[in-house]
Amino acid sequence: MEALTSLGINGKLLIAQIINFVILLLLLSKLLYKPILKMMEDRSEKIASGLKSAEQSEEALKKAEEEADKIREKAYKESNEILANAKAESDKSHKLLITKAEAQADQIRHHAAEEALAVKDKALKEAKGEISGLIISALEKITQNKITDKDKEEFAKSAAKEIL
Amino acid sequence: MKIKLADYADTLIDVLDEKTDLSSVAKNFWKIMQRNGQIKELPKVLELLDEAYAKRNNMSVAYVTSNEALSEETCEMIMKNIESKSKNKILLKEKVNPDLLAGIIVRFSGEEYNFSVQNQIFKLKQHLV
Repeated sequence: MEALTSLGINGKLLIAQIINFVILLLLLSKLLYKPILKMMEDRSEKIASGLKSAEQSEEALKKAEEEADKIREKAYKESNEILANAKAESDKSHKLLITKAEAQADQIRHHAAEEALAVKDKALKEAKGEISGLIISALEKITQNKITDKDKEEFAKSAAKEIL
Repeated sequence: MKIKLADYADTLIDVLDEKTDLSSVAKNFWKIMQRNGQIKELPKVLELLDEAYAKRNNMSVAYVTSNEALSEETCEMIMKNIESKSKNKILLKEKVNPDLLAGIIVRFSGEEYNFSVQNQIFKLKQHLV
């Protein structure tokens, strides 16, 4: 103690300061260090959790992107199918229309041909009728004027033979 | 009173024989037909008379129609051919129809054979038309 005093150090003061220091240390440890440590731990947990969430989000995003790709691909396929079907349907309708039009054209052609034939037949029949009328009247006149009694007798004899 | 035409024909056959006075029979017959309003049927009665006569003598009646009266030779030929075909004795009755132009129409046993020029022209006309 005397040595401390000779060195100008007050021992009582020193002890009081040491006690103060210990009290301060205990207080600091209790009130500051532990909350700060806890806060830091919480913070690191939060960061870790955030990182994990970020990883999970990234994974989810990746999955979502993959899903979106799949959906897009499926939609593309479906739209292509729909287009192909629509095209086939349109081709079918087109063909049906063409077939219908061709059938109508055939019918019209056939009808026209029949009409033409009927007109031709009628004209031919009329001409034939006129010609045969002329032939018959000429024949009747010739028969009336040119057949002699002898011819008539011959006609009758020849007919008599036909009875058999 | 209406009398059946066949009965007229039968009665006429009955009264007609070699001794009968034909003119008085014809006169009376005419009177009766006129009185009964059947004078228009006279041609038909005469046809039936032929048939009745032929029947009584086991013959058939054949009618031949021509444009003009036929020669005896032709009539004979026609009769022979009909008899040959029908295998029966024939009483040939002639008719004249100027429209036939030439040729003959023969009718016997319910059948008709038309060999007239008129018919041939008609057939030709049908064929042409």
